[in-house]
Formats: sequence, C-alpha cells, structure tokens
Amino acid sequence: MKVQVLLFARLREITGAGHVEVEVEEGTTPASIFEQLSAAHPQLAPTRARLRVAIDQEYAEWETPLRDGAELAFIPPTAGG
Amino acid sequence: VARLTRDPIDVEQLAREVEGLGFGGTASFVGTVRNQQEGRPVRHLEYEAHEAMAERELERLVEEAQRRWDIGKVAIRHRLGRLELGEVSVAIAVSAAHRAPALEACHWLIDTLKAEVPIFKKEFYEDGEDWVEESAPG
Repeated sequence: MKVQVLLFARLREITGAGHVEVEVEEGTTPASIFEQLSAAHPQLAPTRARLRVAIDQEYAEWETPLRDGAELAFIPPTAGG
Repeated sequence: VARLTRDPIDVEQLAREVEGLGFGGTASFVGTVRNQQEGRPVRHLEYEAHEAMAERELERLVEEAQRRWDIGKVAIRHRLGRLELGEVSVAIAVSAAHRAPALEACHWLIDTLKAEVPIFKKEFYEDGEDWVEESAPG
C-alpha cells in the first residue's frame, strides 16, 4: 500500500523533501516508517524523541496501523505565536 | 474565523470581525517578532506549517473555547513565511458579554495554539539559523 509522508521544518531540511510517497506493507506503523526514513537519513534519528505523528491531519500514536492512501505527518515541536 | 495567512495581519480588522452589540468587550492578544531569543539577536523569522492540519486545529480550538466559556465571536490569524522584526505573527480576538470569559478564553487560545497547532518557526541570527524547538513561554 502507499502512504503519503509529510516532513516539516528540520525534518524537511534533513531529507531534502517535504513530501515523499512510500510503498509499505498493510498495517505498517508510523514508527516503522520513521525507522526506514532514519536508515536513509541518519540525522533524523535524534529528532524522534521530540516528534509527534499525525494521520490524516489528526494527532495519532506511533503504533497506529496505517491504511492505504493515508497521509502521515511527522510533527516537530510546535512554535506558533 | 481562524486561518493562516501570508499577508500582513490587520489587527483592527480582526477586532471588527468579532464586534456585536450584545458584547460588552473584546479581549485580544497580538504576538510580534522579537529582536532576540535568550539574548541572541534575531534578524528575522520564517514560519511554516502543516497548513491543512493547522487550519483544522485552529477551528477545533475556536469550537472548544466556545464550548468552555460564555463568549461571542472568535477570530484568529497566524502569519506564515518570512517576517521582519516587529511584524505581527499572530492575533486573536474574542468578544463576549462580560470581560472574564473573554480574557480567559483568549489566554487559553494563545497557550493552546502554541502547544498544539502544527506551526514551526525558524530564527535567523547574524551568524546562523535554527528551528525553535523549546516549549518555553514564547
């Protein structure tokens, strides 16, 4: 299945892309996709402790299984205001 | 109405948006770009956001404020893109029949916006740049 992954701020700069499409197995979790991205971009790994995940524009858990066509966003520390 | 904008925020227009003859007052918060962060001079800022999610979160905050307090109308704008020192980055206006709920809701809205809405800030210094990642009072 395909998942649309959105990367912001420092994550976007590390990977060089704000949006990537990944092909993964049914039921893959945000945690597992982040691990795959970190393998390709080792500088991502230390950012994980401060990230949240959002699935289809709602905050979600790292272990929530993803569905085909889902939008997964890794959300860095927010700093609005 | 709560939304993101790349254009300068008109604070007076925002206050007019929440006016009503039944409301005895409007509480507002206006955030501006500060010239230093923990003593380090800041030259300008850039904001980016998960835009679709941020607008949904802002709308959700407005609905929650209206459930929790006896308030009238709420208007919120947050800037994106490059901002110069002194420019308005965020503005919130809350009208109500009485001052206490307007002030309390406005305070809650700016605190919750900072913590929950997926907006990200990069500071540019004389000798570098960095994403702001503390949850210290901003």
